[in-house]
Amino acid sequence: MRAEKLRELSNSPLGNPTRLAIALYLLSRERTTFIELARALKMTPGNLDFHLKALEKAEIVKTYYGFGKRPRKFVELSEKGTEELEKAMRILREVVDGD
Amino acid sequence: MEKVEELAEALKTVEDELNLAKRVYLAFPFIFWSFAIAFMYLLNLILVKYAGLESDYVSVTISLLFVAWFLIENTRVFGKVEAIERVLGRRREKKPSYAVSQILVWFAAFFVASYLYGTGGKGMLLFVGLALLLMVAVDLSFHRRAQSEMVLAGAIILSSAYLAGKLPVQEMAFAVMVISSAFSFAAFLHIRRAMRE
Repeated sequence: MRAEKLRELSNSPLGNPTRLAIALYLLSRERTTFIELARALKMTPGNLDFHLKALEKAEIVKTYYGFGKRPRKFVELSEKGTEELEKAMRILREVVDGD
Repeated sequence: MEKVEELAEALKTVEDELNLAKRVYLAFPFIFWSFAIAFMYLLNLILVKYAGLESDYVSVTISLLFVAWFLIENTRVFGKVEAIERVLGRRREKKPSYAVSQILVWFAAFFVASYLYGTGGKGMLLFVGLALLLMVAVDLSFHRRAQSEMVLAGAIILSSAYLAGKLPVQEMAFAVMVISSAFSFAAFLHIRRAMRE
């Protein structure tokens, strides 16, 4: 039963632990910058960019550019991202509870 | 088995962090109004004194602008709180009657306060204090729970109405100070509780 649940999770866009961490970080924030996200999750820009592109393709996150002292890339969780996160957390709770 | 325990621990940490974020978001209305009330009052004084505008017109316009600003910001905040609750597995049932009741209590409090004390400092204290306590009553009737910080802020503001006009400070300035500090105090308690839980 647990294996089945974990398989279900791994097939979802948030099946990868790094992508799940990105979505969880974004959930409690309106938005964040690419640099801040890389710093918080201790990721290299290249690695973060790779995962963000995959999340953007799955419509989990939205990215856009804003201007301050220099152009900045902003990242925010989409409505679909919240739905997928809700599903992923439910599966994880079920795995832990052994239902 | 060990892996499941590790996962359970990680899940608990994530849920604690999300609960903390949710509580901080819930302190938003108190933080917003604690600065807005004082700022609105000062802006009103400055515009009336130096721009020669009529006091009633300026205060109504400023109040409406700040209420609109609050509604925009609070909608975003509420959206975040709702998203966090969904991820935490606590889907809240949407009740339009709850939102309507929350708005109605402000109108009810305004009518009672202006009928009893007019629109001066004392009336303002009665209006805000009564509205907060009525909001608590609405929360209790819909959700069977209420924020203790809101009860405290409402009680402080309402009881201060007795002192309005009795201290050597202008009634409206006193009301603004009381409301602003009661809201700041409520926000402080809210965030402190979030940090401790």
